[in-house]
Amino acid sequence: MPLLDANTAFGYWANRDGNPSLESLLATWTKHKVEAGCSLSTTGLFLDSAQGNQLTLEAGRQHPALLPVATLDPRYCADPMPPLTACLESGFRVFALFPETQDWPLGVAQFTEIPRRLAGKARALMVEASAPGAATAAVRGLGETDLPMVLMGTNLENLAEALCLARPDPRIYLETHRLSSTDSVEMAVEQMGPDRLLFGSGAPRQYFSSAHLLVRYAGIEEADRDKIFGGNLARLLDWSPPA
Amino acid sequence: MPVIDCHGHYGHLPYLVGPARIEDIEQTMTRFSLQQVWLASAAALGGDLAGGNAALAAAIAGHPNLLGYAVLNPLQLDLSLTEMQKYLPQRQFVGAKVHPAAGGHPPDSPQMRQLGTALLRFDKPLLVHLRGFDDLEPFVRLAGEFATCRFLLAEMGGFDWWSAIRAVRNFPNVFVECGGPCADQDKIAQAIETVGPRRVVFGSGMPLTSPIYVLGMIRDAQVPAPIKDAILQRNVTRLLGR
Repeated sequence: MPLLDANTAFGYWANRDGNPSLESLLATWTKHKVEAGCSLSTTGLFLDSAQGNQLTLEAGRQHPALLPVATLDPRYCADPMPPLTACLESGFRVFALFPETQDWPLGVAQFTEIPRRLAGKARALMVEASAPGAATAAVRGLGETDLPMVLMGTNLENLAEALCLARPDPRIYLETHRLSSTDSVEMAVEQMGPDRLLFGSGAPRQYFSSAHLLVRYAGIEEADRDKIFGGNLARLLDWSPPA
Repeated sequence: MPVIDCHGHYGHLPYLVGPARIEDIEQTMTRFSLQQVWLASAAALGGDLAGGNAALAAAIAGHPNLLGYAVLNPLQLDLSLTEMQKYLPQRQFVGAKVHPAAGGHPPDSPQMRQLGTALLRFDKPLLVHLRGFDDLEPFVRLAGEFATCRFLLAEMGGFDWWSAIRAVRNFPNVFVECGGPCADQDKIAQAIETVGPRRVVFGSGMPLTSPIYVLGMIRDAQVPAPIKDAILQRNVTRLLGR
């Protein structure tokens, strides 16, 4: 099964030095034999989502391994429909929101509009949810839609919460870049099964091998490891290796 | 190469993590080729200072690859001084650990200073866990005042590692442990560049952070192999003052 990376971003990060560039991301993927991965330009995160989405699309066109993810910043978006429509028309099928990095609460009206507008059109909505309570608020925003939601950044502080949400709800996926505690992968598989866990590295901002080795050495069945390392994301995104 | 992990926990922790009994810890050691782990009692960190330290001492007796930290608490100053006297003379106790935030204390509170004064007698390092950026300056004041005491900064200061390594740069008695859940690239290389190749040591925080997660940081770090080896094993001898 090809190795796929569910969570990366390229470009300048506002809160630290360095510039984890697209080249750096691609080099990381080459080094670690990642066949494809979700990514977006941090310009969309920190400056202008339309401009960032354009950069992301362009990167995806130049580098087929890069599966483009659109982002939207509700802080300056009273009506999310036009930008969402523009992204869908541009070909985006995966969307990501960053309430913690952008400092807005998940209860804002714009957020609850987004899953409703994307249901039936997008393959997944990824939501940054690393603080306690965030995952619950994110899933609440899904309402009754059948849109798959990927919770990004699940970690020790909210693992129990995330598993409580994911266990009964087949719409909920967890990506793994911040799972770091002993047996966290094993517990996740035990509690929610192996089919909705997505390997994410957080590269190039984060060391690739930290997240990778945690899954690689997890005490789980090899078939489950293959699912986490790529099978689940391939199924979610309807991705297959290029011919 | 066999690895010395300077930061682990023994006992039940209030998180959804794997158990941390001695057998679990030793299983993890075998799994990830850890030669030695230095443990602090979760119960002691949670407030039961005497009971927790005693349970750790009993648990690691007969396990030469497991060493202990005596947990201290500035809120329980007299008891902490007693615990220091009880455990630090023992060979199997490698140092002391304090989590000043747990008691609402800044790292340079009068009580922390009293602990520092008492610790000088034993010539063993003090592992300190900070809350974040606001604790850096008080910690640096403490380290400066007790310049002959060796300090180990847990998790390199956490997610504020960038500020932490710069704050302790000019304090040769402060070592930084590279573990914890923050896997920012390239904190290891920046730590080496800032504090030097001899003051960075390997610690995970297990089971709160898996050793393999931190070994992944070392693997990807853009530093020469001999420096990685030093982080994984040799630098602890300097931390112990040898």
